Amino acid sequence: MRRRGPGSVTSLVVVALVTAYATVLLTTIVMLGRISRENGFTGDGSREVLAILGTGFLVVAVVVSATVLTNAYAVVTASRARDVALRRLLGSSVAQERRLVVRDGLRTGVLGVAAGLVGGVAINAVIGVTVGGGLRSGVVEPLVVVPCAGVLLTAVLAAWRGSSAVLDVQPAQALGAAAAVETGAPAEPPRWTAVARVLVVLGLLGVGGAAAGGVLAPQAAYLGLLGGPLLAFGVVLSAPALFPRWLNLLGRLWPSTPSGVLAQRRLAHNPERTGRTAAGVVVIVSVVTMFVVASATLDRAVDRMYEGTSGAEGAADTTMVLAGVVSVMVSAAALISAIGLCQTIGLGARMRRRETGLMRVLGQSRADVRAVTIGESARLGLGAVTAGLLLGTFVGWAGAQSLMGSVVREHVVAPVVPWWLLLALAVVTMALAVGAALAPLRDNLRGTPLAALRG
Amino acid sequence: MTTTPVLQARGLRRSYQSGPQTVHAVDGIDLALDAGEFIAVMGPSGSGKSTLMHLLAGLDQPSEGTVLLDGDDLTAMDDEELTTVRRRRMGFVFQSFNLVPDLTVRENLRLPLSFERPPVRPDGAWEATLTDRLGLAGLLERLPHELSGGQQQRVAIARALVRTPSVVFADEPTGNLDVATGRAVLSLLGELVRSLGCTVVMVTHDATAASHADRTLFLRDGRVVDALDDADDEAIARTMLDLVRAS
Repeated sequence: MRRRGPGSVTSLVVVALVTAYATVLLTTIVMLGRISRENGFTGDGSREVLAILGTGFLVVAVVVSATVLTNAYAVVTASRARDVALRRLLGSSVAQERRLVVRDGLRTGVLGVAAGLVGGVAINAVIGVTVGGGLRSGVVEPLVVVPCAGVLLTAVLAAWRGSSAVLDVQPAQALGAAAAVETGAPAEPPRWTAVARVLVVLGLLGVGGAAAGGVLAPQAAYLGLLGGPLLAFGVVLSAPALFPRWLNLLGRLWPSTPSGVLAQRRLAHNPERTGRTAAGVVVIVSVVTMFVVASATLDRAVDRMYEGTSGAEGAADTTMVLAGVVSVMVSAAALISAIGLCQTIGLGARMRRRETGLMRVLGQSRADVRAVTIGESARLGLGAVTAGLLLGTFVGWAGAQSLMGSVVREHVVAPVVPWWLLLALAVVTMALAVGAALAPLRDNLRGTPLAALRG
Repeated sequence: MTTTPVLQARGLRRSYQSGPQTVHAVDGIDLALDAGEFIAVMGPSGSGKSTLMHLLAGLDQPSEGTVLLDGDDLTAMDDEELTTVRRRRMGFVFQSFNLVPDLTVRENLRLPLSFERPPVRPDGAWEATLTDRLGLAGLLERLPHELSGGQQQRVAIARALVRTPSVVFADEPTGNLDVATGRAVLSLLGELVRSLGCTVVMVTHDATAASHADRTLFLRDGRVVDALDDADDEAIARTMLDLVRAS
C-alpha cells in the first residue's frame, strides 16, 4: 500500500474543483441559452457570445488543471525519489513504477470527478432554488459528461507525464551516503513544441485581427473571442519553454548578489517544472487583467465620446463590478493555479532540506538561507505576474479596440490599466508564492545544520 | 618551540538516550592538534568517529567537555558565531562531494566567500595558485555534473581551502572514488595543507587513505584506544583488524 502524500490530496482537490466548475458552468450556459430562446431573444448574438465565453473559460480551467496536475505528479514523484529508488533496487522496473503513479492518477481522477459532480450538482440545486425555476429540466446537463471525461483523461495523462520523474531516479540512491543536493545536471528548457507555437500564433492572429478589424466594425470582436482561449491554451503549453527565458530576462534587472544568483540558478535548475508552475498563474492573471483593462478602456472611450454630456457617471464602478464578476468566473481556475503554485513551491522548498543543511555547514547564515529561498519564490511570482499583466493588457486592449475602433474618431483607443489592478494581482501572487515557502523554510532551519544535512 | 594547539578537545563526552539506555557515542576524549597536523580517525562502525568530528567542528554540542579552536571555546558560542567560525576558519570535504549543481566550479569554490555580508572579494592570486595546484584551471566555467568524481572532490578541496582555514574536516573523502583517484586526491590535500599549515581531521574506513595522515587515532566505544604515527596502510589495516576482532 502506497502511503498517500500531500500531493495526492492536492490532485484530488484539483480534479474535484475543475469538475464542479465544469458542471456549474455548463449547466448555467445551457440554462441561460434556453431561457433566452424561450423569451425570443435570438438575434442579438448574446447566446453565442455566452457559449464561446463559457467554453473559453472551461478550456482555460481544464488546461490549467492539467498543468497543475502534471506538476503535482512530477514533484511528488521526485520528492519520493528515495522510496522509488529502494523499490527499483529491490527489482521493480521503471514501467512498474510509472504504472503505480498512473494508477494513482486514475483513482484520483475517478474519486475527484465523482466528488466534483456531487458538489457541482449541489451548487446547481442551490442556484436553482435561489434564482427560482430556472432549472426546470433538472440540475445536471447530460452534456456534462464531456468535460468530466476530459478531466478524467487529463488526470491520467498528467499522472503519466508527471511519472516521467521516475526516469531520473537511480536505484543506487537508496544506498547510503547520497549527496545532499540534487546532483543532476540543470536541465535545458524543453523545446517550444509545434502545437504550442501554432496555438500561440492562431491566438495572436485572432486577438490582433480583432483589434485591427475593429476599425471597420465591432463584429471583429468575435475573432478575439475565438483567439483568446486559443492563446490561453498556447500560453500554458508554451510556458515550460518560454517562461524560463522570461525569468532569465527579468533576472538581469535584479542586482546580481550571491544569494540572488543562487535563487535565479535554482529556478533554472528544472525549467519545465518552473514553467508549469507559472503557467496557471500567468493565464489567470492575464484573464483578470484582460477583462479589467478592456472594461476600463471601454469606459474611457465612452467617456470621451460623451464628453461634456451626462451619462458617463459610474464608469469606474462598472470596472470594479466587472472585475468582481470575472473573479468569480475564473475563481475555480484561479484557486487551482494558486494550489499548484503553493504546492510546487512548498514541496520544492521541502526538498531543499539537505541542501540547506549543507549550506549551513559551509557557513551560510540563517538570514542568507531565507534570502535565497524567499528570493527564489519572489522571482517566480513576479515573473508570472508581469507576464500575465502584459499579456492580459494586450488582449484586453484588443477587445476594447475591436468594439470601439469603428466608433471613435481616431480609430484607435489607448489602453487604460487601473493601478489598483496591478497592485492587487502583484500582492496576492507574491503573498502566495512567498507564503508557500515559509513553512518548509522554517522546518529546514529548525535544529542543527547536521540534522538538516542528514535529511 | 612550544605552540598553542590549533584544535583542542578536553574531556569530550557526547551521550544520548536510545530507548531506556544511555549511549556514550564519545566517552571522554582529549586531543590537541597543532598547526599543519594531519590526523585520521578510524574505528569500527558506531565507534563514535563521526560524532567526534561533528563535535570538533561545532556541528554538535558535547554533553561534557570543551572544544577550543585557536583558543576560542566553540561550546560557548551561539549558532550565529558558530556559523561565522565554520565559514571563516573551517573547511569541509564530504564523501559525496556536495558541490552545488547549479553553480560553476568557480562559483562553487567561492561559496564560503559569497556567504559573507558584504561578500568578500576573492583573492585572485591565491585562487589561481589553488586552482593551478588542484588542476582545475581549465574547468572553472564547467558545472559539477560535467566533472569526474576525482575532479569534483578536487573542487571541494579548493572550496575548503579558499579561505585558508585553521582546520579542514574531511568525512570519508575517498569513499566515492576509485583507489587511484582517491590516492591522488589525498596526496594533493596533504601537500596543500602542509604548505598552508592547515590542520586536518579526516574520518575514514580506508587504511590507504589514513596512511596519508601524520597520525591515525583508533576509536572504539567512544574512546581513543590506539594511535599510530606515520604508519603505512598495512600497519593501519592490521591495527583496525585487531580492534574489530577484539570487540
